[in-house]
Order: sequence, then structure tokens, then C-alpha cells
Amino acid sequence: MNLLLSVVLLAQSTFAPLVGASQWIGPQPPAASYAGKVVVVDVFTFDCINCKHVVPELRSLRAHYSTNDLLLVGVHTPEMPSERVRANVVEALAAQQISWPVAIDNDQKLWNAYGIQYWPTQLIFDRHGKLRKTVIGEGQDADVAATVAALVAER
Amino acid sequence: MIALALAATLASGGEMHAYRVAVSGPAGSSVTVAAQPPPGWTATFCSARLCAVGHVPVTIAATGTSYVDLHLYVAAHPTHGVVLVTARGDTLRLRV
Repeated sequence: MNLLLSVVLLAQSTFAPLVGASQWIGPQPPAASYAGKVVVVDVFTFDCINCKHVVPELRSLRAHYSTNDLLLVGVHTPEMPSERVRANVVEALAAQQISWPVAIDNDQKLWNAYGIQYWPTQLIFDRHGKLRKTVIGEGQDADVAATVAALVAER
Repeated sequence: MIALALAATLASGGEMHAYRVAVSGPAGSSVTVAAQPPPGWTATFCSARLCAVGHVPVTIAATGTSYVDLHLYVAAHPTHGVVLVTARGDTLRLRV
């Protein structure tokens, strides 16, 4: 039912507040907390080197913008069997200083609902919940930053 | 002409194997490398830019060679090796 809802909302190109997530590390953001904010969803897995390389930019964005303007959420979709173990994820998040909420996506519900194919992928939604940019792979920090800046400036 | 070659064995044994694969061809050309793992195995790739299950897009570097890491992990024991294949049909067979 949740997955169906995700797919339906995605088809409308609006943000489904990660309704397929079964577990969270960190407090699960209430659905209302997404309203009126630019939302960056970082789909990653903790042992992926490309994923690690985008973390500093995400950390920078989170530090730069008010929580009234930007909400950053991680979706951890595991690649290796060891990445499916919650304790390993918790340890890795601490080591990588990932302090934003992370949805555990061991059953790939979110991965499939959003049509993800690659780690890392960043989905950037505007204040109205519309998907405005999909960034695939590392090395595109400037593009991510510029997109977020433009969307935050939209009122 | 695209060529695949085993550049290094990164990990081998148990339920996890990792290999570095050299993908050679004209600089700047794009190629997709895909794996045909045996039943029970999952293949994932990491390029310099991203990771993916089953296949990975690669842009050949100015040197004429780019590298991708292939990870193979298993739910059941393997019965034979893995075949890597590019979108053009070039193949590399690895015994695991």
C-alpha cells in the first residue's frame, strides 16, 4: 500500500515523504516538516566510495541553509550484504558524520519507487514538492549547490 | 574497438569477490559494461563516478583506459564464472 502510494505520487512528479521507509536512523521527519522546503534526498550506500565523496557537499549545504529552507534526508539502499545490517549503517553514518535523518531501504522500496539505478543519486525537490533535478554520481557538487540555491530563492 | 581486461583482483574468496577491470578504447567514447553473473550471484560495479547493479556506464579516459571495480557477492555457491560484456558485445570471462 505504501509502495503504491509512492509510485502514484512520483507519477505526479511531487514529493512523497519517503512513505516506503520501514526504518529510520535519526528521527523520522514528520510529513508536515517537508512542506514549503527544498528537499534533497541523497540515495546512497555507506561503503560506496562515490557516495562518500558527495557527503562533504551535503554537509556544507546543510550548514549553509536554514532548516526552514532546506531539508536533507538520506536513503540508505544497500549494495553489499554487510550494508544491510543496521548496526553497520549506524557505525558508518557516525564515521562519515552523517547527522541528517536516514531512511533504511533494505527492501529497495524507495529505490524502485523513485526509479533509482545508481549510487549516489540526489533527488532535489522544490518548495512545492515537485522533483526539479536528479543528480547521478559524484563530481557534480557545483550543480547541486546551484540547483539548491535557485530553488531556495524561489518563493 | 573496446577491450576489457582484468587489471587486478581486489578480493577473492568466500562470498565476496572484487576485481578491477580495465576498459580500453577511443578516448571520450561511452560504453556500458554489464555483467552476466551465474545464478545466485549479484554483480555490482563502481566507476570513478557512480556505482550500479548489473551494469555501469563508462566514459573512456584521455589515456584510452578507464577502470571499473566489479563486486560479486553470492547467496548460493557459484557454479561457473562471470562474463562481462560491453554494449558492443565485447566480453571478458572471469573464473570465480
